Amino acid sequence: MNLNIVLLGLGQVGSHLAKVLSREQHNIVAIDNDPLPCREADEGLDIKVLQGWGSDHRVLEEAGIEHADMMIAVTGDDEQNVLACSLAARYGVKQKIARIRNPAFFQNPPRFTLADWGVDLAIQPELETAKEIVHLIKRSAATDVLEFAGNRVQLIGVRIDAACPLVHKTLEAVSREFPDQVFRVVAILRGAETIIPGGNDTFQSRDQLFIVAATDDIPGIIALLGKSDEKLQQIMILGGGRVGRATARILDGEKDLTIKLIDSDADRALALADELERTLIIHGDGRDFNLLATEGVLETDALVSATDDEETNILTSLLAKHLGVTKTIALVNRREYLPLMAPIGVNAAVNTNVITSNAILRLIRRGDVVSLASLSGLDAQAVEYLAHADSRITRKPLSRVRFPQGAILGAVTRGDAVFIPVGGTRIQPEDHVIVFSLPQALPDVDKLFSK
Amino acid sequence: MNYRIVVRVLGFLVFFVGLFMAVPALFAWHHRGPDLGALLLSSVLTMAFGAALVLVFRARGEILVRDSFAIVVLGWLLASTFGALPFHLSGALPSFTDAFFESMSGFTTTGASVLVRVEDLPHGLLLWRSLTHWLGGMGIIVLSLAILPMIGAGGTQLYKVEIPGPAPDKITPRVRQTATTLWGVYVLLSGLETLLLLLGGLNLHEALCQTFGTMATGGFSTRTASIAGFHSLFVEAVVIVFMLLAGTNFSLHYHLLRGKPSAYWKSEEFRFYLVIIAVFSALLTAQNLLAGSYGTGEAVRHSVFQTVSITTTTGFSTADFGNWSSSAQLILLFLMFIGGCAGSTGGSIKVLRAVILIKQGLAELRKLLHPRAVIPVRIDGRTVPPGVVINILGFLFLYLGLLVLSTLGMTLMGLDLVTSFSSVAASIGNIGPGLGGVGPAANYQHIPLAGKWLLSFCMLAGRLEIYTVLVLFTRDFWK
Repeated sequence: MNLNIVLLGLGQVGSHLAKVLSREQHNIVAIDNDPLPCREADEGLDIKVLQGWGSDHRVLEEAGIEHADMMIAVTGDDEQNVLACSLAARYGVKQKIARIRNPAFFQNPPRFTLADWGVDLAIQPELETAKEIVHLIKRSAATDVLEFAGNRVQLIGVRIDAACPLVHKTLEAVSREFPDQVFRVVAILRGAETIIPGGNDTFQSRDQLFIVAATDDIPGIIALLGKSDEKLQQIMILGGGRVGRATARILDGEKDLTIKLIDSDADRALALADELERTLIIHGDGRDFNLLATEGVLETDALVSATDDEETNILTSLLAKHLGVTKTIALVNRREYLPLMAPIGVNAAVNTNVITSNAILRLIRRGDVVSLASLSGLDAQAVEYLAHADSRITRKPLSRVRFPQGAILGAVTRGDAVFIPVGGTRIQPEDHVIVFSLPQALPDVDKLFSK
Repeated sequence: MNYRIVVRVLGFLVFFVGLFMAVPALFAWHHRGPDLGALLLSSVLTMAFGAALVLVFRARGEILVRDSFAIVVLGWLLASTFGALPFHLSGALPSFTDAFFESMSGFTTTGASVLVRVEDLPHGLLLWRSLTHWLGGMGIIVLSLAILPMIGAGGTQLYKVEIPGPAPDKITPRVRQTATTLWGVYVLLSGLETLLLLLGGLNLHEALCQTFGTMATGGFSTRTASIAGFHSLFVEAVVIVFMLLAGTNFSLHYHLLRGKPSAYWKSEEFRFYLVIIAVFSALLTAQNLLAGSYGTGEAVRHSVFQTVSITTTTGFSTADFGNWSSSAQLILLFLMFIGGCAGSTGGSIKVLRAVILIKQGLAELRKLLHPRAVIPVRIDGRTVPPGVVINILGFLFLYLGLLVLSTLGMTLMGLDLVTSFSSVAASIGNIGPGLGGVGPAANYQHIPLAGKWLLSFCMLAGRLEIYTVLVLFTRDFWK
């Protein structure tokens, strides 16, 4: 079933959503007030583009709001997003998703909720980002952590070096050597190239591996890769903006962690100190080496650089790494920088726009298909399919199915069970299958699963 | 440029053209016509060529802007070349130049013919001749977008290059839907007209041919005397109505089908289009009454028909306006430069461009008095971006430039001024009959060889709205 979607806002998040969703055959009408992104989208994507305000009912009507199944409002303006959802509700649009950045919309306890204004789902980019940062702190060896199937399956990114015992071995040899470790390497980022590996590909030093496994098995796999998932206890956060604040709030409740947050704005520091009980708030410049030293950067296990300036984030991460911090996480909102982060030594980079897009994509089902995530810095995409009795994929065991090049099966959820499929596995009807694929291979994967 | 994908898409296009050639072959078989062999052979040859291209050039990837220009222009050239095969192979038009001219005139919905006596052509070829109109009217590229599950975003580029008008709009989010919808409306209207013409006493073959000529605003008829040959007021009335519909932006018809007939009156372009036709019909009627050659009824009947026919760039005729007074002929010549609405099957400059230019002209006058005033040009209550206005000015300049240079070329071949100018105007505007030596009672047979090629080029440039064709002649394009 293709959905009719009105997409408001063609910024980084909006244009990415437009690209992914139109490729999935949804009918997208995008609205933006800025002529430049309008023109780019009009020329580059198979969507209809209108220039105007999402709060203008005439524009919405021209976009066919009466027949729309979904409104996605992702402009940079919270109020416009809410208003657009509110208008959409009056036109009878069933699902309204808004990107809301200002925490003031989420008072606790709520007097009015966003649902009162017609927003069914509010995506808070900074909160989602903070959640991902917390994941990354908990999985210290990982560069990326994404959870699927209610966190029963995880995708982790791990960068391996020459010390990794698997280097120079083929994937097939590794799986024969460790038959008990069930995992699947779904992608390898080597330099700027994304490889969807086959059994004959080898692990190389400095590869960034993307591995899917049952969440419980992940620690074993990390050990196998010659890494250790040590517990990070001393956390330092630079920047008390929305991401830094949300991260601190989540971590604040965990008694075994010591958290320090450095912010250069005196008023903001005071407000943060008021809000956070256990976190130590320090007023100062995160780039000040003496300050960092005084506050014990040398003993810090994890440094989260989340200031508003991404270049500062990258450089302080590198500095911290240089000083021996175990894990550095940088907030980098420029997509183009992401592939550079692992090679230059930043352990993990989080991108609010990618995270927001992923959070929204997970909410949109195209019949039996849902896009789970685009991996940051990679061309590949994770897509969940529902297999049918008459899909081609269920007719034969996997070893005899011709699977398209550039795509790979990740994990299968069958009822309550989660497993990693092997050659002898036969996909059964009603299985939920997570596939990783380069964009160009997606149409062929679609055919395998279609009824 | 991604040559492989360009060639592959061209292969699909050629294959479709071949496929459609099989339709007139059916008629030829039914009538046991002498053209059956030629039509079948052409059809098979064309399909084989197209299929070969598709099979040899396997490519994936996006069609970029540059590719889409190449696909559209080369696609139309190939379609016209293969479309000429039936005329040539059957011996109906022994000279390949004539066959190509007839085919190009068909696909571009011009309707200029080299045939001296149309009735001499067998049924199959006549239908093919009219079918080229119909395919070219809504566009062969748009048709293949509707049929082929083609390359998403690149399809948008192809669509915009082929659909006429200054800034073509998609009526639905996905280009394939838009293409399917437009062709759906086109087929629906064509079916309706065929039905009405059958009721008017035409046989199926004639009804189809006139319908194709009307809905594509083409102008090929099955009679040398054009619509006058049917001697039926009813047929003329039906043709007038459907010429008007064909000259209207098809997205308005789509809105009508979706239950919003008010879209017609809300469209400034459509209102202006009707005003032009009403005013010039009245003027022409007055002229013809003054000249005294017709009675009142006759004068109205012929004047309205000719006005609609020329404005929509169809080129059917019910009277030999070559014999009308100079002022009447001048009015028709003037109408050749307005044309149908944007997004219609009509050719020429387009009503929308004319409206915008008039408004821009008036705005300039006001700016003389208020030098610092910001005066936007509005269409349907919305400001036309300045870039679009400049684009239209550039278009007009190139249109007139091509007109002048081509007219010069024609006069150099020894043709008189009226024939030269009107043949070029009728070709760029995709109208068909001109004045003088190429008037409605005459044909293009006597035009010199080089002239036929020059006019063929003008037809293509006119149908693809100048820019698309000329961009292939820029050095940047091939870099």
